[in-house]
Amino acid sequence: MADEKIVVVVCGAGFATSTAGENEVKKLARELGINVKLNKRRATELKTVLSTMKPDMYLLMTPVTVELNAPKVNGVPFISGIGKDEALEEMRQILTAE
Amino acid sequence: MFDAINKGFQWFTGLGSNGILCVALLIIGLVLGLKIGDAIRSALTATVGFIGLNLIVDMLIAQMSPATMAMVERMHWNLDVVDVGWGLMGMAWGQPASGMVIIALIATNIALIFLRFTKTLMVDFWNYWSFAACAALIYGATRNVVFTVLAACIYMAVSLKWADTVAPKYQEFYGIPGCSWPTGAIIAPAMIGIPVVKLLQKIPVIKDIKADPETMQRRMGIFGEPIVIGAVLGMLIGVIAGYDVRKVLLLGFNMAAVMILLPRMIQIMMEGLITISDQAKEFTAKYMKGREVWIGIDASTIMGNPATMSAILIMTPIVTFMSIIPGNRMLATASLVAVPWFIIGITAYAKENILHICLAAMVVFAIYFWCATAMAGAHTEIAKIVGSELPEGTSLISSLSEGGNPITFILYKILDLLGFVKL
Repeated sequence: MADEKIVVVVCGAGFATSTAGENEVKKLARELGINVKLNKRRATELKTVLSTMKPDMYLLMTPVTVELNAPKVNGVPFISGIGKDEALEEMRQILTAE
Repeated sequence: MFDAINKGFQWFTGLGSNGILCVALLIIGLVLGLKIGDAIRSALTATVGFIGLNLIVDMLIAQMSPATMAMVERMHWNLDVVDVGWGLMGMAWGQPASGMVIIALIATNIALIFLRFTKTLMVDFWNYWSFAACAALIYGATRNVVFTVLAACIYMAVSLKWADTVAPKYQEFYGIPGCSWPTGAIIAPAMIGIPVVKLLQKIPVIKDIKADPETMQRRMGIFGEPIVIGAVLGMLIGVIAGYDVRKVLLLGFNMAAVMILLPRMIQIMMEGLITISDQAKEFTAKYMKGREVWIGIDASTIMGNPATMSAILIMTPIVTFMSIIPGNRMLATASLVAVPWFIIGITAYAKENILHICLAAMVVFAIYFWCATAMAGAHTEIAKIVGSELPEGTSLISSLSEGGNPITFILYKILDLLGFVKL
């Protein structure tokens, strides 16, 4: 179908919050009918990610201060429930762009 | 009446910890309102993760126990307690009273909010493990279900209250409004570390030294990765234990395996628990109408800070070396993956000063080492109850994150002085 979107889910630890983030992206991808390739990375691996990947979106499960090479969405709302709809809308905008 | 409750649970114990966990989660899921299909899937998935976790822990103990004994003999170090790290998570969920503990915890949180004792609603169900770990250790020490449940609830109440005091600072520092971070594993370290940091900020010279994250991370590079840390540590231990080259390499591979596989198994457990957790959110939302609550969320949401990450890189090897402090009998190995949780709570108050964070963390770790040593007996007991394989001659196991928690230690000590500890 449409070409694949690459999404990097950035987490602090790698098992607690990332699953929630990934699930939200998968759900949204189904809703929009697009293919998404999910990559999970820890915050400490961001330098490597920046030099080796060019994703379409970053979903941050923990705030980071590094400058990123693609639009980013704050994923903490998916954990807390606060601001979840706004975050979903942000993701929708980014994934349906271009 | 104590006796009747206890007898009921001894029967339940006979199911084996896999059965206990599965049934307990199934019941909790249904009680919270999950459809039977979802509840079964969640309970099974979590149980599968739990089984995987136990496999890895058994391997860890099988490998490290003889190595530890050899090390102790050769070096005459008093480090005879084997570190099982997050193996305690498995014991927390698989303990006989886990079902009762979880339900009691949910009820306690709701009650404490109604009583205006706390503003934190902790539906991040996964992190109940800290409280369940406290319960597991108390059960191991006393074999008494009532104390077990009580201990968990007291620990939770304390954690929630402390979480309330630091929440505003974290909300502002990390830009995450309306949330709280009540994970037991970060709150107790924070409550010890924050006063230390405040003290350091008053000492001349020390208060002015800066340490910048960028250079730190660059220097650590590949040595910051768990898989490398595991391999290096394993080989080092093999060398100290007097192993030949082949066995040294094998121990390196096995430790590297533990560092990677243990968290992966936990991930599977988490997958199972997430559905129950989301359901718990919905369930408790009903009771929260009209109250201001802070949503308790997982600590990894505030791990991304560069000062935190640098401090983690620096402290990991330091913690290993700290094992030789007097009064401690556990060589920190598997617990190294838990180092982040000791640091997260401190950063905001340390104003991102890595030196201050590390110094405060050292104080925290020292206390945790001593508590872990003191509770090794209870830790070993609950491991046996949950069905871990302890090879011949292994005397004791323990862990830092939650095995060394000072609140649990205090509760344990009180019960000990009252004569309830049956070790």
